[in-house]
Amino acid sequence: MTQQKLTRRKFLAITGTAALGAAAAACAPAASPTTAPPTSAPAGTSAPAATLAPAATSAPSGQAMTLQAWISRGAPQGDIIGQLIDKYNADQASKNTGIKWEYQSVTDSIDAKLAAAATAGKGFPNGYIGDDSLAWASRYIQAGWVVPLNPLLQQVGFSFDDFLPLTRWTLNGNDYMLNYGPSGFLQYINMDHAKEAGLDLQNDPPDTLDKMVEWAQKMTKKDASGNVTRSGFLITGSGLQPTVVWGHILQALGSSLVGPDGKTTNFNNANGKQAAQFVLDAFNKYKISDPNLTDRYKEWGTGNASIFWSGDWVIGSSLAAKDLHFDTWKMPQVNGKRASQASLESMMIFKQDDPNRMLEAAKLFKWMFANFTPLYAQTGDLTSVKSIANSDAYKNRPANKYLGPVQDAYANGYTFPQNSNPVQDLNYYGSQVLIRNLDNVWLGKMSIEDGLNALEKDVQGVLAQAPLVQFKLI
Amino acid sequence: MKEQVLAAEKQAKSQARVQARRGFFSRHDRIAYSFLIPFAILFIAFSLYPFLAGLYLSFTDNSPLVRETHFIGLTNYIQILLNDRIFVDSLKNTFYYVIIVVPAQVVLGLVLALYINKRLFGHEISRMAFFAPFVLSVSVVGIVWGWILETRYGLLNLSLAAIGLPGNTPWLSNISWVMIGIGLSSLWWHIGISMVLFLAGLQDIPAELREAAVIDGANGWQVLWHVTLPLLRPVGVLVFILALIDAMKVFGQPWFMTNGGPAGASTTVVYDLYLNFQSTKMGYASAIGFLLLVIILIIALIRQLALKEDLT
Repeated sequence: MTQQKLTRRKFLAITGTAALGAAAAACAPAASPTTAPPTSAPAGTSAPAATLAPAATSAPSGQAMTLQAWISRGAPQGDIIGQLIDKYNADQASKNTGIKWEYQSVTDSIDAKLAAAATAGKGFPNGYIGDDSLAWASRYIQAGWVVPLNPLLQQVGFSFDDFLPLTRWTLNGNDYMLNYGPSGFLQYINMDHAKEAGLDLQNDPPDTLDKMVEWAQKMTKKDASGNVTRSGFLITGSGLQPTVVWGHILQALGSSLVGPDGKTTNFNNANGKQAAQFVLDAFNKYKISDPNLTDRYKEWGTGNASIFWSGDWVIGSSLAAKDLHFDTWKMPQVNGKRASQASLESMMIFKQDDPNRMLEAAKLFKWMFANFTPLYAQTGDLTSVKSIANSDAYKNRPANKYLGPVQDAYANGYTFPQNSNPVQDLNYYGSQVLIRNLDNVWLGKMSIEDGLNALEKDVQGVLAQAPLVQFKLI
Repeated sequence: MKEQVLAAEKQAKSQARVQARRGFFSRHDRIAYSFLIPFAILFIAFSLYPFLAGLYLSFTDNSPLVRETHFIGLTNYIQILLNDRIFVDSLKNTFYYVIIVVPAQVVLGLVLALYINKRLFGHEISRMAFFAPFVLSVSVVGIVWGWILETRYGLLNLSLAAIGLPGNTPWLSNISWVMIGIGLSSLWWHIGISMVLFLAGLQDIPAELREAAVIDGANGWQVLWHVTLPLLRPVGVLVFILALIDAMKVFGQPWFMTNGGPAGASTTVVYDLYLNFQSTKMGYASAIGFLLLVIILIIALIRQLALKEDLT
C-alpha cells in the first residue's frame, strides 16, 4: 500500500472546503423564537385593547428559558438595575426554575434597535426597563408591540394599590408602562454663587419668574465686553434647553404645544410669543444666559451656571460632582402658576408568541418592585410606590433633601405629561421638530412670529398623520 | 528546421486544445472558485441582498409601525427632492462640509506625505502621530472634539488666545462655524489615511526619475511639479474619491457633537436619513440613501469627465 503524501495543493483544497463549511454553518439562522407581527392599529386610532392570547394556566414546570432585558438607564441606575437582575437570576437558580435573564444596555441606541426589530418583526426584548420612553412608546403601543400589563400583572399577583397618586400612566384604562420612577422638573441653584451674591434661598427664594431673573442677574458674571462668562440662568444657545424653558413657561401660562383634543396646536398665540420672548430676553436683555453654550450638563456640573432647570435625574450626578454645592427649588410661578414636566422611568413588556415569556417578564417586574430599595437608596430617583416611600432607606437617603420641589409638583397637580405621538417625537425635551424650528428664533434667523408659524405648520403636519396619544395620569 | 517548426506548431495546438478542454470546470478553476465561494456568500448576504432590498424599499411607503407596505413608485424620491425642506438643507450642509474637508484632506495628506518621505528629523514619530487618530472610533472623536471646540474653555480657543489670536470662536454654537468645527475634527481624524496612501504612492516613484530631473537642472519645486505630482495622480484620484465618499456620508460627528444643530446647520444627509429611520419611515429613509448614492456617483463622474482621467 502506498502512502499518499499531503501536497500543498491538497492541503489548500481541504482548508478551503473546511472554511466553506464553517461559513455555511455560521450563516445558518439560529433557532430563535420568532413573533408574528401584530396587526397594526391604523394611525390615529386608540391603542388596541388587551388582546393577549390567554396565558397558559400555569408555566410548565422546569421549562428552562433565557430571556432578554434591555436596560435604557445610564449610570448609576443602569448598573444597579443590572445588579438586581443578577440577584433575580441567582434567586431563580436557587429555586431551579431554569429561568435566566440576560440584559444589555441600550441607552444610546434604543430607537435604532426598536426600529430594526419592528422592521424585522422580531428582536424585541422580553422586558424593557428604561428611562423616559414617551418619545417612542406610543408608536409601539399603537402598533401592538407593547402589551397592556394589567392581565399579566394580575396573573402574577401584582397589585397597583401600592402606587402613589398620579404615578400611573394609563391609556384607555390600561397600563402599558409600569412606572418605577416618576420624575419632574425643578430649579437647581448653585449655593456658592448664591452665597457670593448674598442671596437667601429660604427667605427670599426665586419663586416667581421675575424673582428668578433677579437672582440670575446677581449671580451672572461677565467679561469686559459684557459677554456672559458664567450663566446666571443656564440656557444653551440652541437645542433642547431653550425649548424646554420655552415649553415650561408656555405651560405655566396655560397653553401647550398641542391642545386638549390632541389634534390641534395651542402655542401660536400670545402665550407662545411671551414664552419665546423670555428666552430671547435671557440672552439679549437680561444677559443672564450665554448663547455660546452647547452642553448644559457640563456647564452645570463644572459649576459654571447658577440656576438650571432640569429634571430630578440630575440630582445623582450633581451630588457626585466635585465641589458642586447646590440646592433645589420649585419651578417658578409665571403669572401665579407653575409648571413641571412629568415623565417616568418605565418597564414594558413586548409581545411574544409564547405567553410564558411575557409572564416571566411580569414576574421579574413584580420581584423588582419588591426589591427596588437599593435603586432609590443610591440615587435620586423618586419612587412610585408607598411601601418604598415609607421605608427608612428611602426616607433617609441624601437625595431626599433635594426632591421636595418635585414632590410638591405632584402633590399640587402642576405637573404636565410629556407629549407622545406615534409618528414624531413632539416633546419639549428633545423633539427635533421643535428644536429645528425654534433654534431659528433663538439664533436670530427668524422672528418669533415666523418661527412659531413654521413650527405650527410642522406640528400640524405631524398631528394630521396621527393625533397626540393622551396618557392619563392616575 | 521545418520539422522543428512543425513540431512546435503541433505542440502549441495540442496545448491549445488542452486549454480549451479545461474551460469552466477545469480542476484549477474549481479550486479557485471554491475559495471564492465563502466571500461570495457573505457578499451576497450582507452587501448585495441588503442593497437590492433597500432599493425595493425606496419605492414603497414602508413604515412597519404605521401601515402596510405599498409600492408607490417614485413618490418618495419626488417628495424628497421637491417637498422636503430638511433634505434640501441637509444636502446643502453636506456639500458645504465636503468643500471644507475634501480639498484640505487631499492637500494636507500630500504635504504630510512629502514631509515623511523626505525622512527629515522626527519623521518616524510624526508618521505614527498623524496616523494614530485614524484608529479611534467616531464616538471618541466626537466627544473629545466636542470639548476641544467648546467656546469658552475649549482647548482650541484657549490655545488661540494664548498666541494672541481670537479665542472666542463659537465653533459649535454658531450656524456659520459649526461645519468648520466639525470639519476640523474630521481632518484630524482622517488625515492619517490620506498621508499613508500618498506615502505609498511616493515610495513607488522610481528615484531615478527624480535624479534624472535633477541632473537636467530641475530644482526641488520643479521636480515636485513636473515629476512627482503627475506620477502621483492615480493616488490623488483615489484619495479624493475616498475622501469624497467619506465626507458625503458624515454622520457620527454631528451626532455626537451637535445633534445636527444649531438650527439644523450640521444636519447632514445621512443624519436626516437616520432620523427618518428612527421614526421607522424605512421606505423614505431608503430613498434618501439611494439619492445620496446617485449624487456621489454623479460627482465622481463629473470629476472623471472634467479631468478626462481613467479611474481604473
